[in-house]
Amino acid sequence: MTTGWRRARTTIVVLLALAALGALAPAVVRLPGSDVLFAISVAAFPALLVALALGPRAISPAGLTAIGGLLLLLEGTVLALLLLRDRAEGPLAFGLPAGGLAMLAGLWLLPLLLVALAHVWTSSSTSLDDDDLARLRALAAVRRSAGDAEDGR
Amino acid sequence: MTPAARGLMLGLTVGYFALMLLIGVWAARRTHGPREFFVAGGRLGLLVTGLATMSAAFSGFLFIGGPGLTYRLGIASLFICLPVGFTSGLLCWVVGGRLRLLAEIGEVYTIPEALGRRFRSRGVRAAAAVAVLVGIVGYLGSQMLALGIMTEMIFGTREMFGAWSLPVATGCGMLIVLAYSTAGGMLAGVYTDVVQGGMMVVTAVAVFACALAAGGGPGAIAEAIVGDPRFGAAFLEPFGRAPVQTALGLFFVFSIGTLGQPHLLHKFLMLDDPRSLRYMPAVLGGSQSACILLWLGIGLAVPALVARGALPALSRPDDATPAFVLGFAPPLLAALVFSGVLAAIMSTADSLVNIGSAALVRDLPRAFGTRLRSELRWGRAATVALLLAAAALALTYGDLVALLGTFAFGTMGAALAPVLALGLNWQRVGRRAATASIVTGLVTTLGLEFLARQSFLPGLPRPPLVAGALPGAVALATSFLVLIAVAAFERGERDLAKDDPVRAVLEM
Repeated sequence: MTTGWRRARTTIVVLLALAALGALAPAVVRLPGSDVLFAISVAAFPALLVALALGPRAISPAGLTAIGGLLLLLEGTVLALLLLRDRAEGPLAFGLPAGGLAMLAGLWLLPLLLVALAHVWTSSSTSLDDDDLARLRALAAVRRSAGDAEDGR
Repeated sequence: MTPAARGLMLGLTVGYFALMLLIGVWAARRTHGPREFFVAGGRLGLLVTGLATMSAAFSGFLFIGGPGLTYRLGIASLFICLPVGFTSGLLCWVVGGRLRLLAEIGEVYTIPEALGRRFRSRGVRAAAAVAVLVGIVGYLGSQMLALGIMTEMIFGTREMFGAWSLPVATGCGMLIVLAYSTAGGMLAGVYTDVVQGGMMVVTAVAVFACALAAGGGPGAIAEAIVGDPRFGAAFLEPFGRAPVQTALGLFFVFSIGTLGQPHLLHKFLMLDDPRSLRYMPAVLGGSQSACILLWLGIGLAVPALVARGALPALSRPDDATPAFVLGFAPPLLAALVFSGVLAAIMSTADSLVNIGSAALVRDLPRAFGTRLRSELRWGRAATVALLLAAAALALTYGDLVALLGTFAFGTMGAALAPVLALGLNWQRVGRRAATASIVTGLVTTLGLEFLARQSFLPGLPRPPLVAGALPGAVALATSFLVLIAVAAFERGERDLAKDDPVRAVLEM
């Protein structure tokens, strides 16, 4: 594990803690800008969790596309929804106002496309091969034959 | 409903029940041990796993409660279902891949078992099993209640049985689930889920087209809604009828909370090859998106039809789907919708009862250092006992069960999502952090939800939350915070030896 990834991981965990705090605080205390804080915090979770899960692979074109795309889409959409909420506007397309359209596109259709493609890409560039699986099974077999006490079982 | 349409609906439902039983018989012949009973032999392909996961994820709420909620809250209600756009990817990246790899290095049949193995801790396994059981009590009970109500509606048992109608209808529906779940376990569960999932997708897409046609297209639907003061422009605004904290709180619980739903995650343990997960987000997200079209279609068409006077205003929002289907869908589609609702309820119920029986006969005994001699036999017995208990609870304490059912998703999300999402991806999370997070999520959700909704004890205070804040979202955020805070001091990576295969899984 590289030092660069260790630092990145620490940053991700700190950001997750801040996001959790940002999701919690506005529910307990009414603060100025609490809606914005809550929105930014909850929209950050998916991308941060994917970044943590991808590990060192997060810093690859596929990983950065997945994480950056998800972060931009979700954060951009919730901020756009907050900006549009008090503006009385007529329909933009399909009879829906801009907020309704942004919600459908930014939280559903575009992430669906992004995630389906990015997952194939991140899996292709870092896929497990037969050797990896064989190594994993062999490691497990060695531990079992050595009488490994499997706690939790 | 005309007699011909009613006959069609009855015929389709009876045929559907018969098909479920046939699958149960087929699966029973192939179920020889706990591996088949609890994880369908671990040999499922991508498409089967994807469809089974989708149908387990969506209960009858998708067909009935969802459109009803849209009628009440406007498009703010869609914050619950729109996250399916990315939760499929989130599940695969964050949890699914490593869960499946844990099953590669040893026998893992349940989510608590996977957590026990990850943390080398019986305590974590026991805490997770308790969280699963607490979550599924209400969830399963509410599914049984919904199954009874739908069976009663389709077969018209009220005219035949009077006051005994609901118990009889619930009993009949439960017997079908009982028969295939007990005999064929999860093998029957997943293949019935595939049929049920297929029915749900076809029905949802057809209903969406029918709803658009009945409403005169999206533009006309929106125009009618905006022009009626009962709905107005706010209906089509994301925060028009719900405060930001409520709307985005739903988004938080139903996106991140998905990572803690054992009846979905369990399916990842059944996949034959971990590498086939590559296309899972496309299959799972695509099929889920097709299903939510029904919610979107009926949710928007019904208020438009009410605004135009084509439908009377609904006294109960949950009548939106039956009112639309009976008034505007062709008989075959109406029959498909009612069977589709049953399919959605039964597919969730069979998954829940299977993981519940696994928690009872496998996780809890092993967490306390003992093993049952025949887990298959006890698993079947526990399936029967759980379903009977859920049906009895639902019929005796209907209101309480419905209450528990409404926050079951949040309970399991707050208790299990943080420990799975961080625990499978950060070695520093150890058994103390895991246990603290599970207990915090469970206690906080139950405590806050109970205080927020109970009316039995008027002397109890309301939860100390800002108006509009959701207890489930608060509990989920608190559980994450507790996990990170304890892990920061625990250095859980020391629990895993250098050559521990679990460490290898976490580093892959």
